[in-house]
Amino acid sequence: MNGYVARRLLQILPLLFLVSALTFALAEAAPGGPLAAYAEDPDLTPEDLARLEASLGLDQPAWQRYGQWLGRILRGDWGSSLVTRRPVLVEIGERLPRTLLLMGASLALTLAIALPLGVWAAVHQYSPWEHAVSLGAFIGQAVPVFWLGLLLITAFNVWLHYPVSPSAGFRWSHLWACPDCAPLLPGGGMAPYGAPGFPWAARIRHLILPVFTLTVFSVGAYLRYMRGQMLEVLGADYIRTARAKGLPRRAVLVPHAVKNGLLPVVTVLALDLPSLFGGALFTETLFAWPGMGRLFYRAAQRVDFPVLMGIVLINAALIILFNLAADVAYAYLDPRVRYR
Amino acid sequence: MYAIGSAARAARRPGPGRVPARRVWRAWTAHRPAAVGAGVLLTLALACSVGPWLSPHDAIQSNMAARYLPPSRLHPMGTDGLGRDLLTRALYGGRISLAVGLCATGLGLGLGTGLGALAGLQGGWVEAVIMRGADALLALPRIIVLILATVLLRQWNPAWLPAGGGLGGIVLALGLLSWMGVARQVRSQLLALKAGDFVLAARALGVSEGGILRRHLLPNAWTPVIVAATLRVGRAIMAESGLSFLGFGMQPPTPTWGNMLTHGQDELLNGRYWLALFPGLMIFLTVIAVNFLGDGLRDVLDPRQAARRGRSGGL
Repeated sequence: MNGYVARRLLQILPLLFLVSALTFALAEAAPGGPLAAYAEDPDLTPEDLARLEASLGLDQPAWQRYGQWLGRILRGDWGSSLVTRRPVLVEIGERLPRTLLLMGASLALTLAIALPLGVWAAVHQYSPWEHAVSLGAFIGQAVPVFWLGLLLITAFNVWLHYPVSPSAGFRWSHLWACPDCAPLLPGGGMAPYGAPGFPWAARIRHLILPVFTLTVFSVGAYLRYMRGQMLEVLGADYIRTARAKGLPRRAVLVPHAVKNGLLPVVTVLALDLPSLFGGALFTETLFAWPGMGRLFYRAAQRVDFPVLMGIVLINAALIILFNLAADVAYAYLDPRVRYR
Repeated sequence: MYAIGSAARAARRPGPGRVPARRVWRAWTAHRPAAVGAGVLLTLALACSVGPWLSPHDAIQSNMAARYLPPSRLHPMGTDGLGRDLLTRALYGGRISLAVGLCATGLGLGLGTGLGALAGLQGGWVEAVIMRGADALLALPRIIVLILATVLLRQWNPAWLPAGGGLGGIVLALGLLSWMGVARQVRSQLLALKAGDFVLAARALGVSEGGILRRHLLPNAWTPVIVAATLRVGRAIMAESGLSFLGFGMQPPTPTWGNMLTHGQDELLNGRYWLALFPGLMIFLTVIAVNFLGDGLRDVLDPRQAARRGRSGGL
């Protein structure tokens, strides 16, 4: 087992190296370079520029600068945002937990819905309800996440209100028409503006719409995957053997079939992480959720390269680590993998 | 003589699991979702190509007398803040979305096939570089790399690319970032196929390596690639819309479904729902039609996999 982990670690090191080189190349490709702003200054002679370049080490070959850049990254000096002047690591560190909260909550909800439904759909293949569920999964996969978010904001933030009116008490009709009521659900932000302390209930209310949007975005893929996986497992010989032994359906389904069908989901979970973050970028932008996706969006708008590079690096590192964790978990759960 | 003759015949129509065209056509028309998907797509393509001509309204020209009209007979999708008919704009934008989706997928398909074939046939360090490069690109969220690419292209604005931030740039960025899956597939297919007896037979008959690749390997590796490419068109359209929605794609006044949605977002709190509803509906319709089509193609062209998916178990 330790040997397996060590081997996988050795395999991901070149990958991390490659991503960092790619990141550096992107920063290099930025036109004009870091001194573009000075080139416009009429008081600076070309000699001044050359001296400036030399003093900043910009006249060295690219691979040397890459080495120095990598060294700074490893020491934790990721530069500062060109817009806010704050260190990149501080900016990211502030927002990473919020993005992880959003993604984690959505992933938990996705799995809670998709896995049981996927198993159910496989067992009840060709039944009308299964067709409906599969069609739903299909639709969920084709809905643009940014459009869904807009529709949800329209419905729950613009059209629907608390049915409790301050003067008249509870009325169902006030759900639709209520001149002085608050919207049913908040359409943006993490908490009410200026709320003191840490308002848990409000936080959760602010989470509902973004998490739901992100869940619809990913639930279809998992459902279809789980269903396909279960169909495969249910056709396996050991299932027939278990049934032939006289085990009742239920006793075969969970211990034999579901356990084996769930295994590859661990890998898919890690492989799907980049796309979930992509969804989070849209969701955060739509719902003004102050996380990493929104940070990236703002940085891209203002061409704030240090922040962009930082987010790309953090993302790559996280995704590669999660992949490693998934591989290790898979090897732990399925002994066949270890001996390959 | 007989043995050589049959080997030559095997070399002419090589490979396992090729499905005759007539059976493909019959199975496909019988596959209802796929037929519906293809029908919807054809209708959309037709509407987008001739619609803007037939429409009495203009997609770009503003008309201040008709601002923010809700859907009506005259304007089935309503009008926007500059009084432009939303349906005309949506059809006009559809041209761009469909063209971008097709061109970007074509570019990715070409690149991926070339690189995948190179990796699968060359092996060694060439394969290592290509496949690890694909891994590195796939390790990052697509939309992030896409945004980076468009931001860079816009900054760069290379002379050989007309309108660096516009149509060409988006097609280029999308195409350059969608070869990885194709390359992986082509490579793994080639690795499996090149050990086949029909390759040995062709080689024994003196077919050149290039001829083997072109005439014997690629046609057999093609099926799953075509299926995946179809599904990729939908993803490319979605990605283009997302980019435009965030403001990194096509810029107004040129309408795309994505940047029409941006306008819809601005007007959401004023209750002008139609500005967000209809452009998104167009994206959704297109993508789901493409997905149905691709799924149907897989069932028809790849019967082995379809049989595996459809096999019902012991429960």
